[in-house]
Amino acid sequence: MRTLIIEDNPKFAVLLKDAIGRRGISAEIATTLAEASTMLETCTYEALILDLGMPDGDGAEWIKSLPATRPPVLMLTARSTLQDRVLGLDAGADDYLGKPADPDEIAARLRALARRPGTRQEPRVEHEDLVLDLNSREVLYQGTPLSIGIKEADFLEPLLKRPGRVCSRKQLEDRLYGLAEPVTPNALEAVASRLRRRLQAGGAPHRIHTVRGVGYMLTVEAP
Amino acid sequence: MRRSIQLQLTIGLLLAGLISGVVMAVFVAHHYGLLSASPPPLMVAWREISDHVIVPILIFTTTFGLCAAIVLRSVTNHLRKETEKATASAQRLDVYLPQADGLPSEIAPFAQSLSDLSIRLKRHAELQEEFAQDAAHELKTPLAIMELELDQVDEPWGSRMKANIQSLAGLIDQLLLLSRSQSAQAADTAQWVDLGEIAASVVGDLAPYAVHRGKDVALRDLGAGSMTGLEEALSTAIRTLTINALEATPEGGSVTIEAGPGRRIVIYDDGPGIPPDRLSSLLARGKRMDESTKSGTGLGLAIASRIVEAHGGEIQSVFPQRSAIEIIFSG
Repeated sequence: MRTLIIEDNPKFAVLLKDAIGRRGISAEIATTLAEASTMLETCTYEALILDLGMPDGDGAEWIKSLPATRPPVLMLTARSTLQDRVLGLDAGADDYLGKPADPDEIAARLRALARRPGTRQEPRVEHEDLVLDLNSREVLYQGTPLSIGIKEADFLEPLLKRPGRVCSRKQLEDRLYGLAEPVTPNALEAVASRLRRRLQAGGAPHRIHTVRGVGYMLTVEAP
Repeated sequence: MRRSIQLQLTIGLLLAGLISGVVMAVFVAHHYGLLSASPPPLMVAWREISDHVIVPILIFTTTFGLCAAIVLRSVTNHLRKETEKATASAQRLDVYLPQADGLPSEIAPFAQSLSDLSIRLKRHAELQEEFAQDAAHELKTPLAIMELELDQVDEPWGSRMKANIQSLAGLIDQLLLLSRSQSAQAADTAQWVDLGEIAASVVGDLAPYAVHRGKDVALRDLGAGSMTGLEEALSTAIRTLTINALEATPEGGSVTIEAGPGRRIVIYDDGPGIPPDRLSSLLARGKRMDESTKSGTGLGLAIASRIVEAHGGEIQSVFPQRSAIEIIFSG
């Protein structure tokens, strides 16, 4: 994978190039926007890493001037409050990371960006050997199917997509029950406890946590 | 002691009337020989004093007093309007511009210097915001370089250093948010925010952190209100206070954020509780409850407290009834 680092701090640029290089992503460096424009005309890159404040202009404005066929842009800047992130994403950046950022995360985001266009949605979601087939709604742990109902599988899907993060009750209720369908306060908890029993019976180390007042979260118990 | 101009004028007029009355009475008495060996009859003397002293003085003081009262009332009305304008501008940290005409020339310079002061104050708030932005940027660039340099180190201390760099960067962001909260009204960046939503997002964000440490975090929404402010700053402040509550809570315990009723947030924990005086010194000086605890710095708490203050709020301890702190936003 080949990327272009657009960054006016040469020391940071070189260190970043080495860091992502160690993670299998090659990079070239442009220290001004003008240089970056020239390089974009002559070479193809799968992603751009852009700093906002460049000596010859504002990175956000520069993105707008690029043709629609430009590679995806990861903004990597020291301006990282919500206001800045919104400004950056509004300007057309595809992703935003605040400095200082972990090189592992930079590399992961770059790979995700390069994958994004044209890739078909994976027909399955998985986390730590727990697999949900999105077409058949079948749930497998280490290849063995678990007897999990449709409602429980629907409940599991958003949790499995974002393990370790909280899914709100509202989001889950909207997913599991139609608008007209009345939802009793305990309905969601009943689905969650059925799912817990099935996962436990199947020997999966995955746990469904209730975050009272907010929602549910999937974690994996350490062996 | 503060006396109104009206009262001072009345006292002045009465005194002037009294003194001039006595002086004129002495002249009249001398002129008509009231104090001589053979004075005129009492009735005549009284008429002389009444016609030439009391009546003119009464006519003069009444007319002058009435005119003064009318002038004074008009000036007071103008002043009241200008005061309202200046107060409103001060609340918004906005520029106050006095009425071009209408203010008496004696008061106009005062209003003008008030206006100059408000311009400088607004500019100061903007400069502070710009400075905080630049400082945050300048501080984070070397941190970002350090983070990448540490990437070449494959030792346990390398990841510990990386964690320290991240917490430093977090503090810089919090300082920036504090500075923004303080100048939010000036920079017109304040928005309408829902305290219930903020509390829910904090609980959602901290749930993995709590679960990882064998603790529980929950939300109880009792109908939280809305207010104007900076959502990110408020959320950072409540998050810092909740992390502190989670750290004070033993394993197996839980922290509950109660949002509402109204503009009120209470964070309950299973820790030993903080006495009110301990809480205020903790928030003021930025010390940690337990100085021996490992990561982070107490500065976060002091920043959280100032962010709450900048939003017109106050943090109190509910100790000894419960181990909890209460954040109340006024207005």
